[in-house]
Amino acid sequence: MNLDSNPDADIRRRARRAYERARAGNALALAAIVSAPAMLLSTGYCPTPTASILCGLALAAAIALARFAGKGSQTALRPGLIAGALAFALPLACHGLMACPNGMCASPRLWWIPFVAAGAGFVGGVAMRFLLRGGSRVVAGSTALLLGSLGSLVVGLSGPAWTALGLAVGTLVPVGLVRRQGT
Amino acid sequence: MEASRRARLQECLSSLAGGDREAFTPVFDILWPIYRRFARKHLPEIDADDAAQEALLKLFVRADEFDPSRDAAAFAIGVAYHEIRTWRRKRWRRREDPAERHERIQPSGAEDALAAREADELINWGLARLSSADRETLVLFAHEERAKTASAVAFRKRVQRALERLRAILKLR
Repeated sequence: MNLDSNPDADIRRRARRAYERARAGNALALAAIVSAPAMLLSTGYCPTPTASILCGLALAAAIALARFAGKGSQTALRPGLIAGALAFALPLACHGLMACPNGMCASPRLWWIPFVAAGAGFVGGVAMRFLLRGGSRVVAGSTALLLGSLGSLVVGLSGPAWTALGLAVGTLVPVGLVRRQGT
Repeated sequence: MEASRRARLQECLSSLAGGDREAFTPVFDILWPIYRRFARKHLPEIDADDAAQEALLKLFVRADEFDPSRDAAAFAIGVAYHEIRTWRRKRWRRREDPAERHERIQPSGAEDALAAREADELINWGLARLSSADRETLVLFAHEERAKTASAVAFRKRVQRALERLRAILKLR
């Protein structure tokens, strides 16, 4: 049977196209709403604007793809973004409190800023561990890492590594505890 | 809608909102016949299928917004109801549109056509006897335009006077 001759097939195709287009639009809107302000703040406060822009674009792409893909990826976005927001905000807030004029801080307290990034990552990781129910860990982790990195770039290019370390510990430790309790 | 279909719609529309493409076909299969029936019930046949299609497309555009904690059937019928109301409003406006009205009063039979031709001839005869200024005013008015030199109020007055003169000429015939 030729489906093209069926008027229902045509409306079905149009409906599918409308659905996909709407999902793509919503995905792009969410990506822009989250990434643009984070990227602006990061480029404004961090010493490596190029890295901030690249990280922001990667975050936008990750959010848009995950939102468009749906299912587990879409479910994972919320915990990933919450975890990322924590990891993003703490280093920036710390930087703001220290009032560094040019991003790279010359204050004697500089040595502990990376630990703030790692600590923020850890808090984000724990939050993600508890919020993530059935969603993709890869999507949640990468979203959290990219958003967190935009904040931790305030430390310099090593910032994302500290955030990643904190996130990894934050997501793994509770899982280990749960496993131990189970056995 | 039967309870089983309602439950299935709830499940599938929730999945579709979460991005599960496999739920597209069941949602379509459940809603398309319902939308068509609903549109045929509330709109004339000429508009019903188009309205049903538009409603279904809108539903799939808005499927992302559906909150699974809410009733899927109510959501779907709400979208259809809104679309049908829009179509009814469109129809109402079309009925008020002068072009459409003109179209509707177009004569259908041969006698009516003859009468319309006679009326046209009469109007042309009357227009030919009007002053060029009055004729220009009425032609502009017929094309929904206005003389650039006159304000809206002044032009309306001019139209009124030109029409009075045209009526007087036609009475003399």
